[in-house]
Amino acid sequence: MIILGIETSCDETSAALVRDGRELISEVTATQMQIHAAFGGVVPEVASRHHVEDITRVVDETFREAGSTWQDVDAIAVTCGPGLLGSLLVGVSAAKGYALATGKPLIGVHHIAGHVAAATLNSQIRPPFLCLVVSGGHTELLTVDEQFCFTKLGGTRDDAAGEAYDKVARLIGLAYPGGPKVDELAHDGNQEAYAFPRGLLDEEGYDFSFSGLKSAVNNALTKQRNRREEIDAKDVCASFQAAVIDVLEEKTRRALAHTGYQRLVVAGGVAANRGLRSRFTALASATGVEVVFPPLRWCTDNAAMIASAGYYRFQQGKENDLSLNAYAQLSLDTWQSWA
Amino acid sequence: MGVIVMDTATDAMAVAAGHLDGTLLSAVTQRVPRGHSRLLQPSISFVMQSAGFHPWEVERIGVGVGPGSYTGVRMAVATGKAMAHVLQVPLIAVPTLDAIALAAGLGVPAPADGAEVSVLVLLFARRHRAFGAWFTVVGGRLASRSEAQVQSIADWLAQVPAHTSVVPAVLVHDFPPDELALVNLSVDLLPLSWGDVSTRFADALFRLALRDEYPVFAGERIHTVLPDYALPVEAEVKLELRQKGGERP
Ligand SMILES: [Zn+2]
Repeated sequence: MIILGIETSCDETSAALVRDGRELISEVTATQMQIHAAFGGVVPEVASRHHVEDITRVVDETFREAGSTWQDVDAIAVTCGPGLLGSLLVGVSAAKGYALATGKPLIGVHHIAGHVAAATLNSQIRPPFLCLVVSGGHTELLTVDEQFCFTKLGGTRDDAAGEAYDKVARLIGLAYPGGPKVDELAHDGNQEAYAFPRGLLDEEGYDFSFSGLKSAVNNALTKQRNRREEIDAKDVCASFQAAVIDVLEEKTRRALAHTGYQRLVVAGGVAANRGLRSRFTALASATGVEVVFPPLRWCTDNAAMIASAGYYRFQQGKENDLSLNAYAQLSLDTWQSWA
Repeated sequence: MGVIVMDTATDAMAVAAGHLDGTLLSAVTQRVPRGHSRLLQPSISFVMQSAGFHPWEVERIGVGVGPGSYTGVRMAVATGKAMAHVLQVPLIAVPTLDAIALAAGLGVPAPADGAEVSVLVLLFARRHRAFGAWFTVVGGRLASRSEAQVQSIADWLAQVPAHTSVVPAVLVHDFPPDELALVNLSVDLLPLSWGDVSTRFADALFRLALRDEYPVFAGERIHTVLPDYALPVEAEVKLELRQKGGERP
């Protein structure tokens, strides 16, 4: 079964053809990273304008790269939320146009379900597994069963982990997108230089909080600047990153112990982070749990992961009609409850 | 042998289906707040079914390219591009202002002597400005009389005497009530709200999509169809100013 995936939830216009949820046939992504870098962050209206400019060309090129035609496609999967509303609407509108014109089934996909499904692309891994999703918009611990149904164990109460990275990058004065640069600088810094708080670490349950950490970094930097002390960005990044990963690792360790899962997937944009990968790899070997990171290219937003998640959704017998909408906010529970 | 048209640029959404010979078979106009994203494709499906043809029998698609609300205008453009490309039929880019002007003109009785009716279309663009253009309608035919542009509503109204050979001229507007209260409408202008006129929107859009006056996009060129936004993105304007400022010695 071949699914066409479409993803436009933020600043990437992406389309992909995926066979049976796992095997990538082709993928084309028009990235707007350079455009938004000039603004210091994603400008929603600019992103939407580029999506509508690129969307049909990107889909067309995906078919050409695969040497496939619409006749080969069994269903159309599109990200319907959460994300930037104007951006989502371009993908959803185009997907519905394609579905209407071809009569192919339409599948609305939750963006986080896509990030989780990315782990199964070109890989042998199958659910059930525990999943930690860490990205610019999300920090969530989920269990994923054989049918690819999710149960949320906990999530962030304020900022997402990736959001905290970007904010700290801005505090240090790193250019957008700063998250990956924080990871890079942290590599050579002293993680004990600053004692930053570990949010909710002592609290039971699997919720996260990163806004206190961001404020602590801000306060420490302001104090040093007022005293005209020199700031070593490497040490700030290393100490900040250690605080983030300590919490992610400990909560995940507890969830593994509590649920008994033997397999862990770490997905989302922050799963590309080197510091995080090495810490979770160590956790895996210490606990005997298998840890899986999606390949780097599928950690960031892409349409292959949407096609993959769309496949599992379709296998559950779920599809949408042409009244499918786009949602800036959409919980996994709400999405899963759709008939 | 079907033609379908769609426009989501304003708060009135219009879709229609008919024959290439100009016969309009089925038309739907919806004015549901924030409903376009949910209603557009089901409405297109409905008018096609009502008209009795399948998607693969569509031979031409007309899409209103705006200007209009930022997010709204993109829904019909993205849908129209996707449909036209996959069905391999030409996509006609119809300016939304033209369809609004014709919708107004179709509803105003023609002067007895067969003279033209002047129509000023103004879409509110915040800060006492409006995007608009002047048109004339004679016997159901539309002619453009000025370039579409954004300017203050006061400047638009100052043009009324120069554009009217027959009084009153018709003003179609979508001004919010508090803005309308500020507008000094002259006696030479018959104001019609877009809400009232939009009942003829789908009809007007359909007629215009069959004219050969608008750009026709086929094959790979369908990808190049873009909405008309009227206003630039504020962040882009600021960035440009900053960059220009930075280049100065
Ligand atoms: Zn994402």
